[in-house]
Amino acid sequence: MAERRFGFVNQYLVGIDCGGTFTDLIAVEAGSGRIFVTKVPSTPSDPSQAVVAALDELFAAGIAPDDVQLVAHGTTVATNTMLEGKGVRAGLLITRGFRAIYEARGWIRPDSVRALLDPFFQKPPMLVPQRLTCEISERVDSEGKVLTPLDEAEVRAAVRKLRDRGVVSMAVCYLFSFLNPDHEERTAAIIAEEAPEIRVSLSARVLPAIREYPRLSTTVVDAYVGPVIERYLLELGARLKRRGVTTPQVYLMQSNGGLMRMNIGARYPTQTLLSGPSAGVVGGIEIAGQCGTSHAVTFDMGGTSTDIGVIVDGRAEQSSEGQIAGQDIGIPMLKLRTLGAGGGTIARVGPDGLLKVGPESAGAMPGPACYGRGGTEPTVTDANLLLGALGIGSLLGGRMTLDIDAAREAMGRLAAKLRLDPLAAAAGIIRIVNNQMAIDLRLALYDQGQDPRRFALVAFGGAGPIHAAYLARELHIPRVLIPSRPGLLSAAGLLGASVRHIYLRSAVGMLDSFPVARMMEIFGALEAQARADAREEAIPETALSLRREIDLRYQHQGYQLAITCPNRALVDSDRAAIRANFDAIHKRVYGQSAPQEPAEIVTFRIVSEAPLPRFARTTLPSADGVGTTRALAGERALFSPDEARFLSARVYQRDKLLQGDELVGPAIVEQFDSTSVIWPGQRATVDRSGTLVVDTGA
Amino acid sequence: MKIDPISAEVILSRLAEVGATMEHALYHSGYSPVLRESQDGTAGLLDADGRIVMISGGLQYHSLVYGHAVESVIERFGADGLRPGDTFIVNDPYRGGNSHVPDVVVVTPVFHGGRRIAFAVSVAHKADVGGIVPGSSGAAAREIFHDGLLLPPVRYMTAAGVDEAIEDIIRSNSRIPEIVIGDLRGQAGCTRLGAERLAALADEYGADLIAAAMDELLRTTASRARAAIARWADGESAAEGLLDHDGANRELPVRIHVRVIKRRDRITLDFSGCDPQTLGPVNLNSVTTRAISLVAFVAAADPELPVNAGLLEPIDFVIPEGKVVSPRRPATVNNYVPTMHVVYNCLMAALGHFNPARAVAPSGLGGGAIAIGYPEARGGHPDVQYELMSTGLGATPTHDGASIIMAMNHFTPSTPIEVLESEYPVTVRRFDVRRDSAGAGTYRGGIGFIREYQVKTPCTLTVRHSNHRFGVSGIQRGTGPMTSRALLEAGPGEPEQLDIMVTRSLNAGTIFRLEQSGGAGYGAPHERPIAVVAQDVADGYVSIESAARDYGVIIDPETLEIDEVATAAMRAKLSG
Repeated sequence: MAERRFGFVNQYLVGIDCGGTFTDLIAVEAGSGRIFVTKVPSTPSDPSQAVVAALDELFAAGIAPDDVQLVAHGTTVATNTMLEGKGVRAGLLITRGFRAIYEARGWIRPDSVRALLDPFFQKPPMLVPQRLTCEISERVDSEGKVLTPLDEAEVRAAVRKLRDRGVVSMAVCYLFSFLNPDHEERTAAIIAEEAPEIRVSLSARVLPAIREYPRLSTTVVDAYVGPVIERYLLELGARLKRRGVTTPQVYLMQSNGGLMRMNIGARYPTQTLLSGPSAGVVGGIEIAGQCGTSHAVTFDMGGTSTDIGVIVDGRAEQSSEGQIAGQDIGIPMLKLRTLGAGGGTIARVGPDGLLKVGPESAGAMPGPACYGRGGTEPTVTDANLLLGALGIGSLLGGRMTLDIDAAREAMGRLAAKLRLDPLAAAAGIIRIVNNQMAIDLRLALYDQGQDPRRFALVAFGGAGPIHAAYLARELHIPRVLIPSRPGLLSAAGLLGASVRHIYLRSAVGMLDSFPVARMMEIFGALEAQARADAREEAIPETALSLRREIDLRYQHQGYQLAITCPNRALVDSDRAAIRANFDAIHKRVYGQSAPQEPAEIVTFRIVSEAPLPRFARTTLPSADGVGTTRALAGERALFSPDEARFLSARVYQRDKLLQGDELVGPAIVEQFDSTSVIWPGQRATVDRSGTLVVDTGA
Repeated sequence: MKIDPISAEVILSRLAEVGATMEHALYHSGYSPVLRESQDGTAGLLDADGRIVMISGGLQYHSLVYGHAVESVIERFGADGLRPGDTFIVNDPYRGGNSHVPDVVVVTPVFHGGRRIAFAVSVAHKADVGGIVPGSSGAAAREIFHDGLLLPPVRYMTAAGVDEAIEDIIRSNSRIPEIVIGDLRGQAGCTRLGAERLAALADEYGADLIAAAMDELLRTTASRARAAIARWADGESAAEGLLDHDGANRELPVRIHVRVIKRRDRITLDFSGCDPQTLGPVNLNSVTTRAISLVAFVAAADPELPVNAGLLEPIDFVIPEGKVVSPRRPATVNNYVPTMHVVYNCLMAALGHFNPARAVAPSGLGGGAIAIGYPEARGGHPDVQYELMSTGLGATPTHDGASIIMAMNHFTPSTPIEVLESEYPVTVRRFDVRRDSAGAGTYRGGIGFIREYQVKTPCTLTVRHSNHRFGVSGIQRGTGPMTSRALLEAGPGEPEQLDIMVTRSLNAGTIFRLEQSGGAGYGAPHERPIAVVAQDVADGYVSIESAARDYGVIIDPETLEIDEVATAAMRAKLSG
């Protein structure tokens, strides 16, 4: 407030992350790096209400709406629309004779043995049923040449028929439209004439990539959630304006780990499907970078699930084979591995008589037994409470008292079934859930051909820091990084992200014979598209960086690898370098290569990036040299799984720790939104940004 | 050694992780992209006694092949003849138990502290191991010797490395030696990786505790299987099915017959009623017969049951030698899948009698594969287009069957049309749902499909299909689906209906089409809600004629409206 009086204009950057339970807000004053945070309950039925509620708390703290220079927002609107099946009534136009493409649902192999063998197996529901699908006479061949011209009369008739059946959104996916989009574009024009109120998703715009099924499925998802996202963004925009937030710099987090300006958000609705978890990974990249490492695994353990992401050379791994609510999405997104293990995950005796943890969760309601809201089955959080990793006053800075008797009772019932004592059952739950998470972490690294010893584990989410140090040692990961606000890393990640778009187009041909002029033409078209979006996003040309990639594969392979391509006029001799690079990367990722086999181009890609305004980083004051007693809150009995007995652990308050403080395990660090556990043989230091760096002794 | 329920859970999860790691390595370190694409392979672990503990990968019916192959290795080299660093291979179905010759079994014994504690094994299809046709599975085969190179159990690797003499023999017998050797090395590598990981696990937990966890898994699986059986009423049931013919004598159907006898907590599966082994290549070896029986048992009893040797404990088999499900050398076995499918359907029908809550209508027969050999594909090189053909699942007591899917392991094989047309001189003219292909019922079967091609150059088409003549029936008054068929249009006039196993030379411009069976129906069709039948008509799954005839729902072909009076009358008649 003082600065304002003297006429200073403060500039605040605000990250708002809507999660399933809470909406988190973090505001950073750009010049000083001073931080304001808050947490409000999410409002799933009308999510922008929670966004505004969080902003109101910011304003109540004395920050003026017109001091908000930038808002970066992570939303679960598209995700929830898919999970709850609440998208709009959509129609689909396809090439005549090809109704089985969507019906078959592409290449499927169920990922559980149960689904593989169970004759009751069902495929995911079709978001557009066959009765809202119309076949159109048209056909383009594999060279992009028209075999059958578009029957425009059929298109008109189909549009009228679908409109009369209440369709408000329409997907169009014709064969080979990624090579020649004319028929799809013309269809869009006809729809606009016949039924201008209908939103149109063209596969040639949504995902101009070869392989008709993932393109079709992605386009259908786009049509299904698009109008919902559009409505949400309008509502959010209006509410922000009413609150006096007038900056045009409002951004949305995308599944690809980058931001996009809200004004073009409705154009790319499928890009917001994995918005939340992606922000956590971006936050992880930043934390790792501050601690001087570019290799990290992000470990985001919340109430119901854990998300794992792998960061190599400062970049999160990408994938184009995503799935949400069983629906296939082919657009580029961060590669995340999710498992059903969180604080609320329930432990039961399995049909084989062994102890099972998850995947069912008690969620936020009723929650773990110790929440005292009626939960009767023991959860991971109940086990942590009985073992001393959590104390009865650990949650929300003691605002919520945990009911240890309820936890003991629930554990007792489970333990009786296993003929164990409750403590052994609790220790068993933690051992099993740690084992599951360790397996997934190992498989995530193995999948990339990476050695855990080169990595740091970035632990966040409410439950991540409880388990991380133990897990990391088991995995031979030498360091754990626990950010200063583990429950807010996703919101913080929003502010660390850049604007990013990925533009792609398939054009299949042998690398050896693919004309360089044609390569330049395709890259040129994609770059023009990138610049056009950047102009709409008001990004100055100088701030924009464009990176070229070509996806290559050996002949007959169903997967490809992205190879970076020089950012200048290409010449014939560039092919050899691209080729050599491809063989090398193939060898690194898959352990072998085939330099004598022909390599094939599948897709061209442009990654456009533009940084957002940066802000000053605060540093924590240095330790006073008189030890850590200032932060010591007491001692607590902590059960050690290795020694099978309780140890006495010192309990510290995180907000009283200073830069350079060193803690020796066994120790527990408590804070408002999380609890960190450090084991015997491990030590932790507080770095200048406040990150707790645990040397795991691995 | 006793093991507590927590350590057992932890160690079994770790063993599954080893399996997943082996499977990943199998698909990623092989040379041929086809292996990764088709995922036609599995990897798994057996205990020190050679009992299958777990299998990773889609084809769970490889399970008993593992144990058989390990036995064949021990028989050949002696229990003391296996040394750390050894890896063995075998692909003679009469030695290794593998379903057909292209499936090579790799066996690596796992040692810890000088003691053998387990086996890491993998089965994977090789693209060509010789024989009378490319791909080694010829319809004209009459003896196993026509199916390609037969390797008895041989020591392929030692701690010192690969036995190059064996690789040379394989190279000399394959049309694509480098790809096959590359895949074989990748497959051997995956078992050696598995052995390494398992030994590390033994360092961590002790070999005895790992053995105890394996025992625990097999023991609890056996007792769960027994408990499931004990809940059924004692009795007997039987089912039979027919294959059109064996490929050698095209007039003579091949009969499969399964009898199930249930007493207390055991069942006997009796295959005595099956036809004798055939001259043509449709024989199913007895190891695979037993393995698919385990898969059917799990499907019919409780799909939560894991597939491992524990399942064998409460199941007795009666399989006299010399049947089509238990051939003697030198019968050829290269086209075993259609036979396995009929065996599976018979088992499901006979087991469904005991567990009606999980009884389902049968999946459509007539899956298979096509191969088109182009003398000149893209770039002027010869190339082969290979595609798997699925059908539809049968209806269940609670919902319609899944459409366009493999029956015994629920893959959906599907090569993108845009990829096919980019790689081969072919146009895909149709990939459509096949109206009325599913059996009718209160719940109908999954829908089959139509796929139509036009070749742009002269080429050779091989169809390995099955059951154009004999389809399946519905259950609980549901009806059977349309059978599959293959049609050729070389010129104007009626298309020619092709046989199930056929190789033909095609001229440029020839059109051919596969019409795939759907699944069978469950429950009386006229009890399917009228609105749902009308929706099926609107969706193009059911014709107006079938809606009237089978479901008793009368729909006006012009307005597509339901004639409620006529429907009520028709339904009264159907239920009368």
